[in-house]
Amino acid sequence: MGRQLLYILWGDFLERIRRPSFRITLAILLFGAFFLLPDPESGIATMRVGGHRGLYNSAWVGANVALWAAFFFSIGGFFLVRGSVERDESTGVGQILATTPMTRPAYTLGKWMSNSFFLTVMTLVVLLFATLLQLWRGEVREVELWPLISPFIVIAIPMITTVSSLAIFFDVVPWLRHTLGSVIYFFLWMMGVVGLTQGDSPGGFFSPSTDLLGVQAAQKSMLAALHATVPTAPSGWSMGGISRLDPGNVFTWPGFDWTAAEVASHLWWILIAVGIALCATLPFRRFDPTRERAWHRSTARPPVALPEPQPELPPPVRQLTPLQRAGSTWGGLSLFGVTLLAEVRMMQRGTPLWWYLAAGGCIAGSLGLPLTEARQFLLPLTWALLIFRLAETGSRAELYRTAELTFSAPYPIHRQLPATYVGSVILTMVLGTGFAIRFWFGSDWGSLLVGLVGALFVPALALALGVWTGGTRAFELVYLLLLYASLNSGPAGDFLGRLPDAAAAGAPTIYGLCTVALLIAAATGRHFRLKS
Amino acid sequence: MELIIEQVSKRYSDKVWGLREFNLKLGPGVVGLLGPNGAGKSSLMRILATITQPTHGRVLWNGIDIANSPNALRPVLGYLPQDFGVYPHLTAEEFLRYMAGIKGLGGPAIRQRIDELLPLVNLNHARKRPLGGFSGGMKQRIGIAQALLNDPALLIVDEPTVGLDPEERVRFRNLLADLSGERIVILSTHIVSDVEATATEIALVNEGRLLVQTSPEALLASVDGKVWEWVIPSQDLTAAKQRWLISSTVRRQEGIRIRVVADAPPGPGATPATPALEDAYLHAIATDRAAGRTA
Repeated sequence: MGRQLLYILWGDFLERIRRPSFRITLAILLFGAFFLLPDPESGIATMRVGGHRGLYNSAWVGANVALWAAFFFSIGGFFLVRGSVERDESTGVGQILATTPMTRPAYTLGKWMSNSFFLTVMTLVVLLFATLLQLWRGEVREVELWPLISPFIVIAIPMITTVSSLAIFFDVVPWLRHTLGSVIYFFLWMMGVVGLTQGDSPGGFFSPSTDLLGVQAAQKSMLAALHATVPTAPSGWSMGGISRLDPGNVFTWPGFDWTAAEVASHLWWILIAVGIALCATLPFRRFDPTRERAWHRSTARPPVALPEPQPELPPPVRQLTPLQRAGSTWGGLSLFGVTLLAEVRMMQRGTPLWWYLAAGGCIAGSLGLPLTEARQFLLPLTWALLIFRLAETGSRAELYRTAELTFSAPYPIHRQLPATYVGSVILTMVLGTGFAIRFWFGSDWGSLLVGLVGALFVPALALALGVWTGGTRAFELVYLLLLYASLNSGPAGDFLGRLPDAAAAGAPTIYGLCTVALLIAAATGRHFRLKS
Repeated sequence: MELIIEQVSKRYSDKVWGLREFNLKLGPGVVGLLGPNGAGKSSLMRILATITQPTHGRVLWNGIDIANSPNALRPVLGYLPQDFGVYPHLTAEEFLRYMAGIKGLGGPAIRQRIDELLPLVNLNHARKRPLGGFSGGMKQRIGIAQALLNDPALLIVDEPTVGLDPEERVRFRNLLADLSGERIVILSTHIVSDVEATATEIALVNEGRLLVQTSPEALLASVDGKVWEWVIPSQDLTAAKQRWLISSTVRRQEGIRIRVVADAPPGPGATPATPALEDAYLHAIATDRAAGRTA
């Protein structure tokens, strides 16, 4: 089994790092890491402890990278590593694996190790980069190994392994594999991981720490070091944002003084991750299409091949009636209209009944409920519902491997892409009909404008991310984060039409400009795809 | 109606070329593009289908460069890729209507077209079934149907008979021959019998280059008097394979009857045989490889 695990891990790892998405993600991480240690002369800091920042030593660098990686991978890592089981299925590799002596635990554990290894390697690259940055900044030119690496082992690794195991679990459960799984994980993340930052259960040898992000440990240790040298310093602690410090507000943090119990309480999560990965063997069907329902997006191999019926006699005439090419219309429909109709029909197909019921409920509720309550609760739900229908916008041809069929049809940029976009906008607007009517009759033109611009913005986002990534996960992640941010932001960030003063705060202008940029990005992405 | 491929090259990386200085001129009829695996056939198909662009050279459709103006060709292009997917939740009929919409076709004419196409590819009985439940052969046939939706003037089919049973293969060959008429049909395959049955012209491709563009008759003539049948003991087969170009072997009571392509009789008792296209194809490829080794 050890050998099997190793081969699964290595094969999967090589496959991942050779994809363009790996290089893009790594570039984003390194770009982000650059801001972990801003120029000392600039007076800004991204981690702030009681109005101070730490001296750029190995402990500070290690803690910054570990905390940042734990937070980033808690949400981004999941979307980054999931899909490996589906890939084995769609490429047919799974069918081959299923015929080998590989056991189900070996497969799920191997995939978990591969996910973990992939995220670990990325974190190590960032750590190395940050260390070089530390030497370049030159506040401390000495590299101390344990203070540098211990936060990575105690904070980042448990988070990485936990997220990796959840990704495997979501991958093998058919109904969690696609957009619904993304939405469920996002809510789990909001309630669980982010909630854990507030928790203060340190755990011990025999119980896991709830401080999975390491925030409580870092806060405690750093504030203790600060107050030892500057007793009057306030107790605030923040990371992530860019804040300006008073000159000279720098203190030396020697690093975590880990006790064995603290280390054990964090490493508990690795065992929990192994447990989750082993649990994943229960729903894992070993790529047997007859034991899974048709949840699959992939159509490379049909789930159940119907028996071939008795052949009919060949038709007596093999000539086809010639099509008339004259003019630009068929039956009064413009060429664009025909393509648009095809796109709208496509979006309808495969839509589950529950979605229609939920959409109907949202429209009816938006017309019937008091507007204030409807805006607060029903409007975000209506927008969230869109994710299930828009996630495939822009990537459908890649997902179903019909790109060669559709891109060889006329005008893949000038007609097909706009038709896809307009179809998505129509769907979005239909879903928002109830609110639009309320805003109209309430003469709330500002909210109506915000909603209309939002209905142009979200499909543009889905289209651009779908075209550039060829998948649904980027849109799922970005859209959920945007929804979350919009619900927690002021009027300027509101693209939902939730806040009455959003239009006055300039939200339509902001999202209108974003829409234009995203549409240009989508067209450019499709252009590159066709030229490649 | 004319398709001209001029000095087309496709480079995938520094050392990997899919095509090298490829030239071909085609008019109405069925051209069989024959070559071994990895010869560059699919690269050429994708360039002709406007999916990808050549690194060098140009492809002219009725005098228009399709790299610069792909939409001059696309409305009259039918393309069946070697490997493609379908939407599992759509029925056969819905998928064809969707593809028609994507191609900008609609109205009663296209409904009639779909009604004609489904029986033609023997899928009329399955028109209301979701594609997710189709077998490989049925999926291939829906691919063939979508390629014919727009009454294409240029029909490109890449390994179209893969996955089809013998009966369906024959049906498809006949369909292709019947449909050729006033259109250019490019049939890419490594199955010589498919080409033998349908092609009016043959283009042999090897290692990204065009070896020869000729008629099936001329290709057959190239091995006239060079094909021999000979019965040898079973144990001599390995040695014979190393020495001669063998196009087929059939086990017999008295040993193995081999079919050898050679300038002179391979041994006493070898009798001249009527050349087949497969003999000519193997001879041309083997000659090209030998020339490559000497160069």
